[in-house]
Amino acid sequence: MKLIKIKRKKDLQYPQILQLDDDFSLIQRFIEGDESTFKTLVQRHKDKIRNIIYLTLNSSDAVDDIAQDVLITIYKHLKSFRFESQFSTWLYRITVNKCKDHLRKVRIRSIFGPMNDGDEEPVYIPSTEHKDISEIVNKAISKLPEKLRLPLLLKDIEGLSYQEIADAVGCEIGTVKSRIFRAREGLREFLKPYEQELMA
Amino acid sequence: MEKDLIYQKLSAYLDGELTPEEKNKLEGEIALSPDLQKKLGELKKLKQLTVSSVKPLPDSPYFETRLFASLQEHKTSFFTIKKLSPVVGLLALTVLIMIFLKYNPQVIEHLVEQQKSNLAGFYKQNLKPLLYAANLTNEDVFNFAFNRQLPLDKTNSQYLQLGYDTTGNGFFEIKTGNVASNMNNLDKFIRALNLNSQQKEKVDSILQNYAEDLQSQVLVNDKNTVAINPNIWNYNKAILADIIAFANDANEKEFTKIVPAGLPSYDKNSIVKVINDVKRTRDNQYIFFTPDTIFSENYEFDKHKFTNEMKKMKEEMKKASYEWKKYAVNLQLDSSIVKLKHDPSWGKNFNVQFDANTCRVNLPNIIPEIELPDFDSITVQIERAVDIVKQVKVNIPNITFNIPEGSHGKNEFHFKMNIPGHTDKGTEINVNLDSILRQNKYFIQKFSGPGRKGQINVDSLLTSIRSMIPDSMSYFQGNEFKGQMKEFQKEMKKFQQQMKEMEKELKNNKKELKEKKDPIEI
Repeated sequence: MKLIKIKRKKDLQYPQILQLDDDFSLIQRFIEGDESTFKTLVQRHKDKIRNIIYLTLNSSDAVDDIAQDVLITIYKHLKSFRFESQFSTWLYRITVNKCKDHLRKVRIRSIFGPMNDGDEEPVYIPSTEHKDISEIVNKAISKLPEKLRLPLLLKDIEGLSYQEIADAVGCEIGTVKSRIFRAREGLREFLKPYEQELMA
Repeated sequence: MEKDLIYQKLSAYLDGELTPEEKNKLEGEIALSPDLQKKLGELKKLKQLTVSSVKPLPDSPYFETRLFASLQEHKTSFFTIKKLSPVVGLLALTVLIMIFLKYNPQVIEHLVEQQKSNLAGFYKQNLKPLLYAANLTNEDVFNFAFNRQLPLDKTNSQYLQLGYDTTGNGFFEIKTGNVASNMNNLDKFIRALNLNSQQKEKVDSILQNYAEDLQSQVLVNDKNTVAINPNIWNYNKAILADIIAFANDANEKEFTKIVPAGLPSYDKNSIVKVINDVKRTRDNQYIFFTPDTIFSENYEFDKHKFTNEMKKMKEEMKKASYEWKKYAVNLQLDSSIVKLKHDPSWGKNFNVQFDANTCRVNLPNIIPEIELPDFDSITVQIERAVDIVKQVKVNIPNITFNIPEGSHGKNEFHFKMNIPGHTDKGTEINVNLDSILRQNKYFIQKFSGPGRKGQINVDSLLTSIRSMIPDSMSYFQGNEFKGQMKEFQKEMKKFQQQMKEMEKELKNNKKELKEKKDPIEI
């Protein structure tokens, strides 16, 4: 019962705010001194931010830390927002950059840190073991290069447009189109051994 | 490659990213090509697999709480920086000021000078000539010329000593002790030169004239400040030159006896010029001794204004003469002054030395420069002469006498003085003992109680009487005055005897009255 009540309360809040206050007007109010609007922006975009980070890192470990870092950065610089692009575009760009920073640090740490054999696990998964399909696909996705994987997931999971993906990762829209196709082709190749099971 | 491009379009078609035209065209192609249909099916399946396989991210219930806590922390640190901003600002300002002052040192010097002026202003209030209060006599002026000593406070035996150190720099000392004024050097000098009455009057007038000038050289106020004009050194030389020139003209023969080596050749006109220069020099740079510090500062002493004020005050002083002591200064050399010895800035102007009874200030570059003839060689000769004169010491005996009871208010005595060399002029002096006694605080304390009988130190009485006698005649304090005092004692004894006789007569009269009354009663 309690869960239902909470759901209803949420349902009452969000649609009204979304209808009445777009991102720009909230940011404008924030710039004018009403810092409470930042909370609304956080509530509106936090899930998207967390998911992008999760998809980019392919792990949930550091998601909240990076998401907080992203939002604090947004809070610090929100007063200098120039209203030249969508707020979400700016937000996704910052999120992707923070993820790239994080991955860079992890890579540097892995160079100087102890060897982890788990990272070099082969893609091939024996069919005899009856692995869960989702697990197999996930494993295959994780083996895609970052520059292919991210556009694919942003499109298929987060539902971003090609333009939004291009803005977020900082490339041309044609490149996004090509990368998503190549990601699917790569995925198909990885999943070839399970073709019959998957296509069933 | 062409196939790949068509497949890419298929992928984009699947994602709904084609324009309507592209979409229509591609749909037409798909309808005609079984290969494209197959590929589209594959891509659809892969998309479905991707969407269904990726596990949703678990919720983070405390995400917002943590975020806003972090933001609050960030804000606090931001506000801490904001709070610290005045300190940072102040530091920055200090650094700026330091840099500014490094390249503009004159600003701080100006500020220091301004502060000094404020302090100086406080100590410069109500400065009055001390020498007036010290009751400067011609004898004092004469001794100042030869011994460079000026009494500051006769009651507390403090005096100013001018001098030159071994390097030739001038200094002055405020010393505790007795000045040489009791030596009667002026009288001896006059007698040695065998001056006539006119010449004596001239000496008196010369010295009196300088006494007035010296007034404005040493000033004091009720804030225990002593201000000394360094021009006093030049006055010292001027007085000396004036006296020597006069003595040489008045009686060259006797003067040569006093100064056996004779005077070094000098131009009389140049001495007159020097004297006039010294008198005309209006150097307002005084050296101030205060309880806090010693400093040099400009001060304009309005002598005429003061003289007018003094005339008014004199009338009031007749009513309460001991009020003069208000201006007497007893300079206390306390620890705060001693501390200043360590102040390096002092070295610029002064060199101050202290001991228990003396405060000595060396002044290398402060005495106003006036071209003077070689007085130092003359001074050496004169000092030798004065030493010879000093050898004959006159000691004034302490005479004690009894003050007759009930005589207060009637003690007027008449003296007639026969002065050698003044035979043509019989000098008559009226001494009102009451007025003298009133001026003598010691006497008032001693004799205000019942039974006014006691001793009085004649020295103090003589000082008061001396102020009524012209200075040139004051050498009668010696043997002549001793004689006069004996006469005075005799008169007092006579007066006592008369009183006793009167008492006896009164008693006898009473007895007679009683004897006369008795028979009537019988």
